[in-house]
Amino acid sequence: MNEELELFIEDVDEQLTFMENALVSMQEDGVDDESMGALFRSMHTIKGTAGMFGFDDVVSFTHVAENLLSDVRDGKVELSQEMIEIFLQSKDHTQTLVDLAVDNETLDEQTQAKNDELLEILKSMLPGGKKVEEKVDVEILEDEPDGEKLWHISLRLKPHFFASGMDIINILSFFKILGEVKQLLCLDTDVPILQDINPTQSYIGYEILFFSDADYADIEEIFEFVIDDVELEIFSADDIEMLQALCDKEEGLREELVFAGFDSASRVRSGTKNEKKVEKIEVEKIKVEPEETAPVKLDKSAKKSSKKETKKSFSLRVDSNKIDQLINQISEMVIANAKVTQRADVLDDNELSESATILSDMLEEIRTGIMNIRMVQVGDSFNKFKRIVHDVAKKVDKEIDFEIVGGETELDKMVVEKISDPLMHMLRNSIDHGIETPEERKTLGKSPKGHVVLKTYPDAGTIVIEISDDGRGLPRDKILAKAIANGLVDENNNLSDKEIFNLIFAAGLSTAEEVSDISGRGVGMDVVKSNIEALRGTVEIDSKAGEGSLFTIRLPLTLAIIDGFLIQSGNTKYIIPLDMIQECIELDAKYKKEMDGNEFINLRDSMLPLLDVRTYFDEEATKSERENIVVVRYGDYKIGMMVDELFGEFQTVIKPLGEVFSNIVGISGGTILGSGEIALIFDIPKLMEHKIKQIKK
Amino acid sequence: MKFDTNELTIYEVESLHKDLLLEFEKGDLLLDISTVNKVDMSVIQLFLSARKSCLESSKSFQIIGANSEVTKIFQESGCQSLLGVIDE
Repeated sequence: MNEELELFIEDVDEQLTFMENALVSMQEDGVDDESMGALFRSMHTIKGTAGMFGFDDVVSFTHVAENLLSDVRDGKVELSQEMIEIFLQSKDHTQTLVDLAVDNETLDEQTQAKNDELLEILKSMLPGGKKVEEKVDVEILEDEPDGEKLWHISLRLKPHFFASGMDIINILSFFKILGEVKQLLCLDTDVPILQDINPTQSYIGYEILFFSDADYADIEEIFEFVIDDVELEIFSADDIEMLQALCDKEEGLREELVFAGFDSASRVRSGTKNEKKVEKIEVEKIKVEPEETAPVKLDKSAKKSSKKETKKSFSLRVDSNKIDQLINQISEMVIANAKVTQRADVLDDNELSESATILSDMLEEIRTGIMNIRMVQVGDSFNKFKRIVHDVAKKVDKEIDFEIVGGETELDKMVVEKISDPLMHMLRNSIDHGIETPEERKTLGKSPKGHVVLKTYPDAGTIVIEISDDGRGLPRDKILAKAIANGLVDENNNLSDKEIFNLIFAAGLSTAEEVSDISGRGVGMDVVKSNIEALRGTVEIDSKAGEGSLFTIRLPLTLAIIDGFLIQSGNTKYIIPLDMIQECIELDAKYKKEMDGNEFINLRDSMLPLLDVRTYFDEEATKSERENIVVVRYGDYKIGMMVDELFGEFQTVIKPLGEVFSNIVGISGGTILGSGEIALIFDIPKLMEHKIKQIKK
Repeated sequence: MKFDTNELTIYEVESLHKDLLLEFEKGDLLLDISTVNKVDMSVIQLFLSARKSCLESSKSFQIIGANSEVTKIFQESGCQSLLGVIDE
């Protein structure tokens, strides 16, 4: 079963459950306008979505039910107990119809009889026995004749549209249900000739003039299931500015429109307009199995249905802003709780202290729970790359074996979305530049198929995404030469291979001899890097000539609250992200003797560079005798932070520091402690970078 | 050319593409779709592409034998007149 259909079934389940509850409560408490409206919308939604799948039986039945609901809502008919009963039956019947349609079965005799009977009753309940047209084509226009207007819908199928599994013709037929299609222009301008076409890719577009009382949201809803697979513009047909902008984008469109009878296309004016979109994220909610109660006799069918009930899971679309708000509130609670904990210590009140501990444990659980809502498996989003890789490979005549590893790794939905573009860019680069042509590969003794792997795994509080290929590797000397030519580095430099490879992230550096429409323009890699850094992540490259390249992206797991470790150095308190900490050791006399003025210690036979926080941030010396080292790890690197005092774990709410502090290297934010003091959060990757540079000098 | 299947959809479109290319090499395109009950947009798009190829090389392109069901699909796709499909 494809994803859209599953979504549809979930949606119908939800709508019907909702209808049932609303109807039952109406039976008990009487009617109110609001739930009546909601009831109507539920039926309307089912009709709409069923129409998109071409489930005609569902559409024609729900259409009649919807009509009656609409009349009730508008006060043309009074809702009687009898009617509620019929609506409840209709609800059950709709479920049957949907089930049959989904299983691709036709109505059996019994269902057909029920269908006819219900339709008969529903129709008889319409005001004055008003006839509903058997055909669903024209009617809704008659409901509210005042709000009708002419809409212009401009639609372009994205190249991967056909992979969505939806047929655009079915979707278009839905327009007829909402109103009247005045003009339907299929644009085949971009369709290549037979010799050049990739038949699984879509090149089609539509311009539609649509007369209806539907509003913007209604029309947009038609495309609900394919909204990511099309470019869609909906505007009032007399909005000349929008039309102008549209025609400006595509050469020859205006002429085609005029020719096809889009009258307003002959008028002119220019301007722009942006629609703001709310990022939606999906919330999975699983129904909990009902608790076993005292043995109750159930008949067979009841048992069956309750079993079915427990297996169902349904998802909820929630505005992500609501979740952000919740996270903010939790953050404030964490801070407030820190204050209680601190107060309990001051008062030396054991009971209070214990309660505060319980409270913080619970807060932590809530926090994890909310964070989990935002987490999605990366595989769902990454699978679309398969298609892109396939297309790009075809375009450049290469054979690629693409593998996704670790698709079950979870990452914040927003991060997944934002990382998607950079990844796509890097994959394209790998295929276009990295992998050799099949002939070249054969002469090199490699398999003709290039191997590209996208691998994701969690590592020490971060998520690592790797893109590796077994191509020709990065041209070290070429990059260096180009960088010197561009004045990015000095001719007498002393750069390591890794550092040279990382130069490709600098703006304006492309070594591709030939600019293809896929890559080589020298913009892109710098954008990739800044996109990743905006997510507080890092990116690194490793490469071996003739063997391939490896891009490693590291992203933080969460964005708002982290588990921190509170320390003090000089007069300031600092937070180190707990996940990065490997161990804490005391800097005793033995180590100090070993150091002998250097900033290294010998930790179990390996050299550990140290960063003296006090010197780095220019702190005053403290009286405290004891000095400690916190060993932190990030990626392949390890350093020891020399600090004065260790306080222990602290739930840290990350608060951004003002602009003024944005240039301080090594600090990524601040947090408020229970005492009201501020602690600064270390940016460990940046501090390491600093230390490594220092060592080189 | 005739088709031995009664559905022409995205699942058949790649093999259909190959067949059309072969047929196109031979000369005019006369597509008898009398056995066909269902087409989808990917196939209609391929027909549009075939039509373009024919126009470019002054060959003729014609679809015949469409039943009313298929004609309706062409009509709803907005490509009926473009492809010259008539209900037979």
